[in-house]
Amino acid sequence: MSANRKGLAGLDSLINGKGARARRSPALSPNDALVQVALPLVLILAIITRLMVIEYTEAMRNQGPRILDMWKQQMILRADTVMDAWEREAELGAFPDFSRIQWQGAFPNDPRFENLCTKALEMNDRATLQDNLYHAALAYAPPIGDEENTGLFFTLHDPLARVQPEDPAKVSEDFVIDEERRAYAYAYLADRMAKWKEQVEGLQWSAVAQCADELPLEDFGAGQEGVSAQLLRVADLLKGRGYPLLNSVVEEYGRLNP
Amino acid sequence: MIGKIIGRSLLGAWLLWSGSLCMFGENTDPKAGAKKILALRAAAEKARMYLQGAADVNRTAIDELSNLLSQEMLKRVEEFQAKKKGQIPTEKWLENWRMEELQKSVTETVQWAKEQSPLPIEEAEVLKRAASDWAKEAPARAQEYARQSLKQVYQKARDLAAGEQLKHLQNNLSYPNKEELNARLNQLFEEKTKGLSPLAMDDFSVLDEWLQSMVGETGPVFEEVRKKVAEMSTDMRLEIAKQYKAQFEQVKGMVQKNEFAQNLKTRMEMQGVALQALAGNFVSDLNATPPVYGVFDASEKLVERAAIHWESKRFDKFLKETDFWLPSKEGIEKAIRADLPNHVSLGKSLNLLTEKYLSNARQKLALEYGGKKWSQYFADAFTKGEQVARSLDNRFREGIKKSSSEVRKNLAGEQLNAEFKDLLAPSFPQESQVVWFYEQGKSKVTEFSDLAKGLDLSFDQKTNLLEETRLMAVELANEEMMPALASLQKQIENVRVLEKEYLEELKEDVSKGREFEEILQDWQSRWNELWKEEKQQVEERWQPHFELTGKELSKAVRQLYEGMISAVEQITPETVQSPTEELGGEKETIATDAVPVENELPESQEEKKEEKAKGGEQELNGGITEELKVFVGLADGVFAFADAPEGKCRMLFGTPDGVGAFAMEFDPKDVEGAARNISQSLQKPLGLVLDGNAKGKEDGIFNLFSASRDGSEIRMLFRVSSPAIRHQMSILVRQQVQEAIDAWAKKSGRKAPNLIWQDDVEL
Repeated sequence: MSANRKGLAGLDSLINGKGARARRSPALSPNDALVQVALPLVLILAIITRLMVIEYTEAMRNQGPRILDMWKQQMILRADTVMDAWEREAELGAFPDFSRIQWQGAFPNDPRFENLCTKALEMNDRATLQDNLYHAALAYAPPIGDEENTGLFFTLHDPLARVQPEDPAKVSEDFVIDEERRAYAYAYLADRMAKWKEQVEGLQWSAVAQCADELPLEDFGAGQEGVSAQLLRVADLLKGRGYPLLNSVVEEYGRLNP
Repeated sequence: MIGKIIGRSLLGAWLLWSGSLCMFGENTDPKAGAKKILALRAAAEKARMYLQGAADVNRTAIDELSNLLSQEMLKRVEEFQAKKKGQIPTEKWLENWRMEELQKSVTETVQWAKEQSPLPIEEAEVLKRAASDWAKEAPARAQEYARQSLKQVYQKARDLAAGEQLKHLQNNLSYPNKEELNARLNQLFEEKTKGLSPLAMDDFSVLDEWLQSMVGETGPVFEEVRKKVAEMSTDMRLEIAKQYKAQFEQVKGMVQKNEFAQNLKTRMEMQGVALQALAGNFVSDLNATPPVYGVFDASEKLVERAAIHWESKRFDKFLKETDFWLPSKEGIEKAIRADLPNHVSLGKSLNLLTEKYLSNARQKLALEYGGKKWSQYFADAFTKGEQVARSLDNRFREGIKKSSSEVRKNLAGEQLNAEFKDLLAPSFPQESQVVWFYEQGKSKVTEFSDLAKGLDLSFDQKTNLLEETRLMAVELANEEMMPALASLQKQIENVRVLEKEYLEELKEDVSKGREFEEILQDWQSRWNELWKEEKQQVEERWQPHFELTGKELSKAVRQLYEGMISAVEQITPETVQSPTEELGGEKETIATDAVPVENELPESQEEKKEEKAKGGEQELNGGITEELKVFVGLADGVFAFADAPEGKCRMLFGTPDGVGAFAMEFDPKDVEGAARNISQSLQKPLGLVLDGNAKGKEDGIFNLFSASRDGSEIRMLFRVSSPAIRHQMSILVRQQVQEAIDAWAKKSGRKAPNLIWQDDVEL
């Protein structure tokens, strides 16, 4: 208590300039005190708040059972494997944010972004992509010679799968994918695909913004419809340069004619 | 204190937190950012389109703008009054209007963009994208628009505004009130019209200034409307004139053509009828547009004038058609004969007759023409000197003049027969009467008084004779007197001709010693010879020579003869020279008894005097000048002969105002010598007179001497107051003067004036 009083007295003297007046002149104004004392205090409070939020999130995540079912582990392993492969192929990991895109004038000049945009078009038909990834995950087999991972993969049997095991009867009941397990697998895939889509859309909207910002104005002729027209024009220009945009971006102001 | 610090700290923390969240949010929503940019682009393109179109002028906008500008003009008429000056505020207004329109479009666009964007959009962001320098480009475009559209918009707006203003003025046009208008029209009527003439349409233009001042109280008006305002006052004037004319047309027949009922006689009756017609057809309605004023006072005045006029005319016609009111001839004759001396003059006679009979005529007429109802009215009118009274006076005088002329004519005939029997006798005129008029210098009888003297009428006779009688007597006398006087005049003139033509011969006869009777007979024969031809031109009665003619011839010859006899006796033949030599020759000066006056001073002094004489200011001896003054107006030069002491005579020469005056004495017995001396002395003075006469012709100063003359003649008076001077002297001097005139004319290069010689012998 006495220590607190001492600290407050010190703060007060610091604000009012007592004890410091001899050394500094002129005395600290209330604004000086605010900048020098209150702001660091606020910063500390912000950091504490953030840490608390992270802790809370982690705690929530760890509420589920720690030990998953075998089929579930196998399914997640297989799904992540094919999805990682898709990400690599799309080079999605190269663009954690918009600033990574190479730009020249009013348009991007980046082959990897060009590849991403093209690959991302698969997301225009998410159900198909999801099916493809699901069946690819069931059919996945580690490359020959990859002995390290070969032991991690064992057969999962979905009677509806496009590729069936050589002897489905030998597959244990624990690894047969029924409708409930299939739904879980699809949900897992959809969750990650949603993140892809969000990331690609963010990149493309930023590209649209930058392109629209850089492009010179055109005469506003009759028949154009303002913002929608502006978006379509930018989308066309980007597409023409090899950067097709997702339908979800292009059709922001209305579905386009097929 | 600590609480304060904590409070401030928390506030700062919240601000920082929300700011960082906003920044974070913006950065992490690329879709929103893109939408904002797209909206900005769209808005900027729209704004740029508006900016680019800001200078364009289209027809629809022109119409709309013209309407708006016309409204603005009506609010600020003073600034737009003059057509040319009004362009300046118009251009400014157009520029402002365009700027406002542009700003409105931009604001709407920005609002629209805000609706399209999830993020806030500022107008400045749009304008920055729309133009490199919106603050400069937009006003420039607006100015350009104002310049381009000015002509179309301004003219149309001006037309609209002017039309609107004119309409407003016309709707609020206030005509003058009836009282004021009546006063103006009355004044106009009095000044511009006479008799039965109404005001002409042109007469109303005098009202223009006044009407314009009424219209002009409407405040400032457009230049175009100003002309229309003037026309409005004209319209107003035409409306007033139209109403007046319509009123006149209503009564025109009555006013100008006497179309009143025949039985109406007095002005009141006629006026009443005309006013009734006017009042029935022109009812006042001052609230109408334009107001109907009703019957103007000027119309009523015209009716009043007409009533007075036609009252008089109708009465005059009655007077012309009747004569019961005039006195009879018998009455007039009786009145004249009863008082002849007062009726001698026609004018006085008419006055007396009027005085005597007019009141009676008035009474008769008042009763007859006015009847019972109006007899008193007319009786009063006749005595008040009104129009009818003047008509009556004129007609009455005319009537009695006509009657009395006949009466007087008869009476004059009677008087002529009674009082002038002599004039009708064949013996009239007797020679004594002719000679009397001749001696009076008359060529005919001009005055009755002369005739009365010549006929020796008594006083009573003179006072009782009418004007007409006198005139008739003079005319009758002249019928015989004029040829007689003409004959006598010619006969005497022939005597003068002989005097001139045979003077030299007479000298020779005298020197030869011929007898007087013998010479006289020759002269009589010569006179007869002359008369023989000329008598054909006179009436037969007057062809024989008058007794006076014989006497004049005898007297002339005798005087010449006697004068020459004494000259032959006293003067040696050498000294008797021709008149020409005497007057114009340069013979040596002969001793003379002439009295030297200033005209005969030494040469240098004479010249000075001459110069003075030319200036018209010659100083003369009072005596000579005074003597000459009595001849003013009688002649240009005077020779005045009078007795002088010691048996001598004195001659005074000069003009009546003293120019060239001199006096000399001579021996009257030596006629030739005296004539020679006179001739020598006369040279310069006569020259002065001739010069003066010629100059007078030029400047008119010397014309004052004579009553009637021109420069082509010179009159000389030879006045003799001495019995010693013979007629021969007159003849000699006259010849010398004539030759001197000829010599002067030759020398001066002027035309010689005709010499008019007049002998005046007092004895």
